[in-house]
Amino acid sequence: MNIEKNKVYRIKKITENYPLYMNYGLIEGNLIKIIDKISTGKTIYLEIIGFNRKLALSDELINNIILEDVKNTEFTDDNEK
Amino acid sequence: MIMKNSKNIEIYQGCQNCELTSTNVRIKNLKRTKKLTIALVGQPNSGKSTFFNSLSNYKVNTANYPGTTVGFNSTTIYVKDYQVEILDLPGLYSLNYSDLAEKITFEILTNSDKSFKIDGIIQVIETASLPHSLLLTMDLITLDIPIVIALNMFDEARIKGINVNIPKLQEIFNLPVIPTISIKGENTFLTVLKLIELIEKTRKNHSIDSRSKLSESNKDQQNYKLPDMTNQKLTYYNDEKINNLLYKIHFSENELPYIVKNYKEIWKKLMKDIFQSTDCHIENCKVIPACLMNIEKIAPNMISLANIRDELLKLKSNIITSISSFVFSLGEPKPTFDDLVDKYVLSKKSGYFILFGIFFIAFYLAYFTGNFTADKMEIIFGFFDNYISNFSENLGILKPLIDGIKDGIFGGIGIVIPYLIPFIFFMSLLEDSGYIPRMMYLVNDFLKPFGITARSVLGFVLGLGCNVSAIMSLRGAMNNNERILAGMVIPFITCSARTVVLMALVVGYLGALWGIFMYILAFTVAFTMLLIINKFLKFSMQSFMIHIPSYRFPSLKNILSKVWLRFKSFVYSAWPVLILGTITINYISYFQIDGYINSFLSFFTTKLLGLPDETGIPLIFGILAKEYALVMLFSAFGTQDIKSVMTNLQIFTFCVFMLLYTPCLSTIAVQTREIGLKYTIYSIILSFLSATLISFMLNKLIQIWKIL
Ligand SMILES: Nc1nc2c(ncn2[C@@H]2O[C@H](COP(=O)(O)OP(=O)(O)O)[C@@H](O)[C@H]2O)c(=O)[nH]1
Ligand SMILES: [Mg+2]
Repeated sequence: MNIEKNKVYRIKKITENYPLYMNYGLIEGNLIKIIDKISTGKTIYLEIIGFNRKLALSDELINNIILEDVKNTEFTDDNEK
Repeated sequence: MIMKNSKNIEIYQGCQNCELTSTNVRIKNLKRTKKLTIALVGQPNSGKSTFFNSLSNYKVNTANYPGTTVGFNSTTIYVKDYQVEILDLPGLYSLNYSDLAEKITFEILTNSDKSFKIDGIIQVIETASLPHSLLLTMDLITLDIPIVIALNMFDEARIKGINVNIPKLQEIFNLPVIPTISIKGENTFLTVLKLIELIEKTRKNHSIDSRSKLSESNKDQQNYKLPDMTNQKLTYYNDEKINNLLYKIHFSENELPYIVKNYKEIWKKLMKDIFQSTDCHIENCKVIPACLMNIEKIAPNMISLANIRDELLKLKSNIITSISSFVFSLGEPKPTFDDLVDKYVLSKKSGYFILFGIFFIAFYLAYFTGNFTADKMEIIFGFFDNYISNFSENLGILKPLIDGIKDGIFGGIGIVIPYLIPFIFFMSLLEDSGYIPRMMYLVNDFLKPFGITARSVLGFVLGLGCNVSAIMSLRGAMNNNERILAGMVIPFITCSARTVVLMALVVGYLGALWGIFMYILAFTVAFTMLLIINKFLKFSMQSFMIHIPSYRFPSLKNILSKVWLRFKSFVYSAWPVLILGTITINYISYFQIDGYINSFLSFFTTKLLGLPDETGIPLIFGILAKEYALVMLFSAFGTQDIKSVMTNLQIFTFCVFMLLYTPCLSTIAVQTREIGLKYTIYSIILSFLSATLISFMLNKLIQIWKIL
């Protein structure tokens, strides 16, 4: 999946090594926002919204995460609740 | 805005009467026979060390455990009539550890490391990331050890507008929760007091008849209304209630205390079921979550068990999500100081400029302080040197021993105090302020082709100061392979001792450009080595994941204690080797074996590299510490004017060889400890081969091109 900058995604499923992702706060159902990618774009900087956490990780780790698009409206709705 | 008044913090309600009076702290002449060990546990950067250091006002004794991989500090304080040892354990995300530092903590908490028996835990939580930290709380409660939660960095959370419902959190976990500001020492001692009260209470309850407990839990069960049981996926358990809990996603406010209380029992029940169906017995597993992680290894043919485990992990995250929704709320989203600064620090455009700027300043300051102290120290040493030499003059066969000890000690101090300490100091400053993880993010992409991640980049940077401290810094590296890889290659980085030799010989006689050439050569060799080692040892590709913490103002106390810990582990591991080494070499020249050694080596030095015979002994000395190569070169030729005894080409070849041929003895000692003997030997062999090959080839090339 081609992830884009400044977009919010919901973590649908972690396909491998669930416990490691969990340690870093990447948990199914959590919302993440891609803040930036650096230089060649292989290292990604994101925010785990509910956890108030910022995380840098290599892109191959993203491959084990199934993300689902969150429409911006849905996201703001979530926020207001 | 920063709070100035400690009254701004709500003190935990039940503890208003346990004030912080000095009588509580130290009552002299009282027999304190009761000992307790308390562990500070929490995620990295939650403020554990600051918390720990704030207690040092009450300390009577501190110790540290350099350990084989990760060191940590301990301090002993007196509280009531207890002698309490407090451990500042390495950071941990959960009991399913993924790196070496976490493993140390895991082993101490689960008593797999028998040298400690933990009586109580203070979980230090960065309040702003409470929901994430609760994952660890859920694991810790399975340990059956009394816990108090310290909601640390409460000041920061306030500024961010974060709200925590502390009474609710206490009710859910049935644990004391205390807001703390460890950087000001607020409520930290109180937390310890609270934990001791809890330990006392737990011990008293323990002796109460277990039957009364049983009936209590039965009562609980009656009060609890079973949720609807629909769409059940697994019918693995015969306990209906547990089955139902497993598939709930949202828990109500009233359910939560019950769920948390039974969470531990759920795991235990599951474990029992799992291990009854396999050969492995539950006793083999020290702790429940860790055991679950190894299902694939314990019972490879039972994939369904791993699935159940994953369901349970999901249960854990569902529980904490529910808890968070009731006790934690983020303030109004507004641009923070971090966001503002990171816009420049982490940007593609300005980020790298800032990176170079910061390191240039840090290096400059470290070298400046290093050179300054080295100069001052030379004067002091010169004085002692004369004194001791005069004394040892007529000791005969003992002279090399005394001189060896002297040279070893002075040599150690000569490297450690001037260069190592300022380097560790500035790096700790960058670490504690939160910049290092950001630097890692910036450089990670460039390191990927070489099979390492940014986790080890701190090591490469520190290597320019001293290889010893660089290799010690690799302890934070995510996994073993990466540590080994970086640990083998760091000795190729030109440290400050080698810089001294390069300055005197290369820059002095051949010019600054050749000096720069040497630096680039060493870096190129280091990165080529990474590729070669990766190719032959087939280490798996490393992944990189790191939290980017908030920027924080570092505390001097923390930094000094870090410097002290690292300095101490250097003293233990490297210094004895250095002293033994100098003694040996002194005896070699005492028995006048050096002539034989020179002629023995002449095949190598003279025939192969075209160097004068006399360079043999200086090169041997260079193994001890690289700057000795220069000192011995002067004494071997009996002059400081090397140009009069060696040609430009010989100086160049000598320096290239000296730069690469072996790590110094202190580095070898630390390497052996950190990456093991086997890889240390590989590293030495690689150094020697590459040094020979490269100096030989460059020697020939320069002869052909006639550039020197
Ligand atoms: N504002 C604030 N900063 C803190 C507090 N406690 C620690 N810090 C800072 O947070 C950073 C990390 O703290 P440290 O004790 O090294 O965390 P550790 O990794 O858990 O040992 C340091 O720069 C501390 O100065 C606190 O209560 N308030
Ligand atoms: Mg610490």
